Amino acid sequence: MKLDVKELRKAYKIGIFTRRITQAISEVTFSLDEGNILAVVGQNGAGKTTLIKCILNLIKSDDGTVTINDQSVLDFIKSREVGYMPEKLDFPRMITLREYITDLMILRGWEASEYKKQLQYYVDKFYLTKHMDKRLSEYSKGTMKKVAFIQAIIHKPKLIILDEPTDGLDPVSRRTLLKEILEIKKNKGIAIISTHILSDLAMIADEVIMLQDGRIASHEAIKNIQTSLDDWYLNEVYRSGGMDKL
Amino acid sequence: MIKVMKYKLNYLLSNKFLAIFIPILFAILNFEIIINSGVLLSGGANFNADIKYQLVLNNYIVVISFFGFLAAIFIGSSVLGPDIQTGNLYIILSTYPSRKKYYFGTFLTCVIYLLAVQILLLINEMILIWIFDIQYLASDISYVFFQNALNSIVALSLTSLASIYIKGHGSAFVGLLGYAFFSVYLFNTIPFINSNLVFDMTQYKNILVNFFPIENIYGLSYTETWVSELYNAIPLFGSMYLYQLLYIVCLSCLSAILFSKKDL
Repeated sequence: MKLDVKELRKAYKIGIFTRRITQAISEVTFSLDEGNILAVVGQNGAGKTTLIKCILNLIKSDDGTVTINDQSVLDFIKSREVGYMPEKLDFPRMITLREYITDLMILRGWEASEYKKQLQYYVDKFYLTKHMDKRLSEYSKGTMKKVAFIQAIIHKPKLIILDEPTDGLDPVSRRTLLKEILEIKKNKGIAIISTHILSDLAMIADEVIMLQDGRIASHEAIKNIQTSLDDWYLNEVYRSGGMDKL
Repeated sequence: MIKVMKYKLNYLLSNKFLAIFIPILFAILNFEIIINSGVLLSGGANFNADIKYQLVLNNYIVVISFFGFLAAIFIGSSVLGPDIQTGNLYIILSTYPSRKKYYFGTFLTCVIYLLAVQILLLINEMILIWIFDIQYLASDISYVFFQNALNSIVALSLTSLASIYIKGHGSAFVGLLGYAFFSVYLFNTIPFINSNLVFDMTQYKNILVNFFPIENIYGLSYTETWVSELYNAIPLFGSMYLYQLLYIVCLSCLSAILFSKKDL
């Protein structure tokens, strides 16, 4: 399996009357082979979430292509092999975890018997057994994150995209989550993670892309920078002019 | 699409507001007919058959056309709004990529849910008619039911179009504006405050009705023909049934296209 992103470009028109154009991402090109984990880093507003949404076709790119195994991303999504954990979390609050996962699995075309075991596995892993039949409105931010991760991974996707997955998680759950991402790598899947927590990507990522003002400022293999990830990050931000004002 | 319909039906059935509002709708219908119509009050037994029938029919019309309309616009706002607000739509579309199918699936589910509620209200009405042993005209009842169903689906279509752009249930306000618009062009009245407009809009009613085609089902309550004609707008094609059906199809297709092109 191979993910190819070529010359991706997206601009937003802001303002009802002025229609000011803001370039969110431009000329983003990279490819990723199976069994690889790509971390996307960058300052706030660098274009990480836009890039992720363009890959998933949630946002229509102005230019460029996203293909998986030479087929369009839409065709690949139809195969139900994609998992996505969004950054913004505000799930339907009046339903329970069990009901929520059931609803989503209905949409994915799974029978209850097929995912029941998987659900129990993740519920045990993240210590959510006593929360199973509680309404989502009663969940803390961290618990909601766990729910978001479970829905993204429960169907064992080949491509998983996680937007700030460990933000707000306790250290134990964070480690469990990272381990589960590594499982995808073992199963020859592809994972794309957007994060601000550099220690996370040092643990799991194979490649790192730094976005600056919507462009790829740097694309490195983690082994080349792992000894001084923090220094690399600061250098890249400085080099691309992001810290001029400091 | 069946999967989407199952998913949306699950949402509607577990929605707390609807779980409270729909039983209240039935309570209002029964209250209006049993208590407010006066059929059970002292002297009610002396009403002649025509008066009894007119009272029961009028109260049915009031309940389904106003409160039923409110239910329709709330259900219409559930087509996409809550999924966009919660961010659940991102997750759904990352596994179910056909946005047009998703839109039509949720829209159809909402229409079916609304029709199911209206059929139950009709059954409730017929049970009351049977209990009070009232002679009724089947043509009146069926006209009110079908016409109101179409009115409600028109409102639902407009609200569901708005739900693409307005998060949560905020698009229900667009439905309310539609109701206000109908009230203005047909009765020259600002709704909810019952104040007359200075500028008489009723002279343009046959033009304005094309933008939000709602049939005035209160027409059955008017005893004089000229009043009926005054409060009756005729759309472009002459037939309100036909125009409403066309309006619903066009609006839902437009909504599906707009949704498929929208950045989320």
